[in-house]
Amino acid sequence: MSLGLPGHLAPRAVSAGLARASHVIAGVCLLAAFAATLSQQVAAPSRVIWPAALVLLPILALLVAVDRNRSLLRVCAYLVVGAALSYLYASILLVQVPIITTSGSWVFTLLKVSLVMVGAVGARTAGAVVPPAAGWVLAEASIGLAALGTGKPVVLDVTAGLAVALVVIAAVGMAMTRPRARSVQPALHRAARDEHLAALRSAAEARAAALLHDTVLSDLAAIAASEGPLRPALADQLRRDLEMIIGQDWSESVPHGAVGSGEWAGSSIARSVEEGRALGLDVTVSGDPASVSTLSAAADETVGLAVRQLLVNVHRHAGVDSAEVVVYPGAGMVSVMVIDAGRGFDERETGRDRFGLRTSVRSRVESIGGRVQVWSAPGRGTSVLLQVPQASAARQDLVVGTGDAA
Amino acid sequence: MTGRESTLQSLDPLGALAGRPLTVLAGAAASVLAIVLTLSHGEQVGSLPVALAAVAVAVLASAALVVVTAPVRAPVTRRAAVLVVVLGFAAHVLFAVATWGQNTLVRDDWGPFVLGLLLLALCPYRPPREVVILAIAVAVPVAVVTVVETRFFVTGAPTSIYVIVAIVPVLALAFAGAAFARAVVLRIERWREHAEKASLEHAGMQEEGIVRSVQQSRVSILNRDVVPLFTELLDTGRVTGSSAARAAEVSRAIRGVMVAETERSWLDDVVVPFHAGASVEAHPVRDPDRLAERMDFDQRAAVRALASGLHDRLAARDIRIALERTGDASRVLLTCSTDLDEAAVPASLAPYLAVLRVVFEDVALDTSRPDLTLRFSYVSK
Repeated sequence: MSLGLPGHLAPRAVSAGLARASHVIAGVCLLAAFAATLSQQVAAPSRVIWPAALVLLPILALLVAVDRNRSLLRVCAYLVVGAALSYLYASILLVQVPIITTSGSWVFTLLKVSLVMVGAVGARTAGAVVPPAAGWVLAEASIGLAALGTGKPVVLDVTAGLAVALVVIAAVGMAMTRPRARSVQPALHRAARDEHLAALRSAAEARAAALLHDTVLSDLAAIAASEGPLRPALADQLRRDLEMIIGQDWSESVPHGAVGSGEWAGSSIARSVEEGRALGLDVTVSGDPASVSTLSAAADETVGLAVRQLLVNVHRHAGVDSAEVVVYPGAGMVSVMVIDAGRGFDERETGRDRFGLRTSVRSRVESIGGRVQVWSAPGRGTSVLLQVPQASAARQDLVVGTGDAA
Repeated sequence: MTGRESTLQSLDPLGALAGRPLTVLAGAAASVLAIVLTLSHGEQVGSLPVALAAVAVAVLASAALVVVTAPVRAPVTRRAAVLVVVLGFAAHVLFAVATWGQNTLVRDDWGPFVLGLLLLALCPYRPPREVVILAIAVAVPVAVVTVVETRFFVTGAPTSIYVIVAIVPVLALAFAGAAFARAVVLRIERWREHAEKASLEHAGMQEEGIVRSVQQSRVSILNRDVVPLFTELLDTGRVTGSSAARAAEVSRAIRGVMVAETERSWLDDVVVPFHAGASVEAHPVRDPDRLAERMDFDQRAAVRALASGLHDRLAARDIRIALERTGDASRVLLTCSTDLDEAAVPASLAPYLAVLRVVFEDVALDTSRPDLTLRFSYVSK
């Protein structure tokens, strides 16, 4: 997220916004003057009014140039050329259109406002106030001169003056009110950054918890249940655990990025299936097992450990000796389903003793941006669906996804 | 940010809060304009009661603008914006009726200027596109009113010119406001993208350290309890009754720690540091349904900022948060105590509340003693 702009960017954004708004007003006024001029020509075909409409086009072109780049040169060009052409425009209309009797006529207001709305130069308040004021003075002067030249009275324009007031109040108002309310902005940005870090930490904790659950906890359970000589397999496992606790850097246990080993046989998921078979389960694999090659090494390892835990669950709790693993790709995800026809359970009622499902399967898969769905009811077997993003999408989801991991 | 409108207020709540005085000023200017122009063109008024009603409705429209954009009511709804514009248009129509047959000039009618100012002032609070549509939608009937009045005008210009005169203030001011909002919104979005990336990169750089510290905290428990047991078993090559019992006990202990950790949410980490003497009995976060996990990123960041703001600015003590589900929504109740003067609290909290109102619903602050209470709710995805 990061709501809002940081203090150093806000004034520039506001000043760019005000300039754009001014240019829109100027544009609307110029187009309105253009349309009004042509209307006069249509209403009085015998008179020569259309050159006045043409005079407006270069002003419009300069306005577009100023809007593209608010340089001092372009702003000055707009004001000076705009004032000169306004003189020409007013001279034509004051002579050719009888109902235009003074320099305060409404069509001239449009022109004056469009010069006032020249927009700010730079992000400072003075740069926002001086150009509009200059535009007003120049426009009043040039149209006033045209009136004097054609013998018509000069009338000061209230609307154009109010337009200057509007611009000045907007610029000064925004500059004045800015700092106080913005003082909290850094805290907001800090909070957003902390949130990212917290998401990473909770993902790391989920991984560590899962790792611990699969290794040390499961071996402690085996020890507690096996008085007598230490079985060689368990001894090996204990040595590996000790190595992990004392030596290994856990961050390396979840490699990022690199795409996995490529085939089903070399994947961590396949290894877990073999381990399930070693427990005495009859595990059948169906679907498109080769699609695991589209997983990153991290995702493959994570899903592998999750599948291993699910097969251990079937072995321990389901009361059957067979399970099915279905692998299929689709929509940027790889889905792995572990199905058994055993006694099933009610996920809501098995709180803490289903800790393995929560820690080793759910948090682990969610920590890499995946999803876990469980369908089970007492007596009806259990199906667990793991969905994880394929390699290209995985890295981004690793960080974004953990924020929402429930 | 899905589901939130792309308004200046939702993308930059602090900026909108800062600009609030200008909204009030625009409302005041619209009212003053209606009053002054009515007074100065008294000779065009045919029906004084209707003219007074027109001015009253214009003032009402300005008041509605100020009321619906008040920070407490954020965010401003489309319905509220339409209400303001409809009131402004009603004032314009009433004034046309009041000057029926005697309106000699269209350029001194205040209706289009009032409408333009109202639309301009709505821009920080509504999506730019909507303001443009509203402006066009109201410019059409304004043009129709002008066409109907044309026969009374004295200057003898073509009707199209009167229409242009009438609609230019509406369109120019509204389009300007929309252009302002759009320009700033685009810059904010561009910056967000950049900031998001930088923040993720920063987090990525910290990742290794985080993983290491998580590992360290686990390893210390394991070193104390598990390493001696495993080493002893490997040395002796036998599992005795006492080592089996020890294994069961250690397993229970580790499981207990892990369950507690799994049940601890990000909210605990945010609030507990600000809660003096947090013991198990007086745990500051009550969230039995784990609703805190359903907050999205922006909501979490806003709560984080609020908690540190309460602590830093209000010297708040004993921050407590309770979350409960009511229907689809999750309701949050935050209480804390502060020594700050009761009257000073809303002002100190205003920026935080502005942010909360953008990401949560039904935000309410109660500063009555002894506790300061904040309520807000959200509907999770």
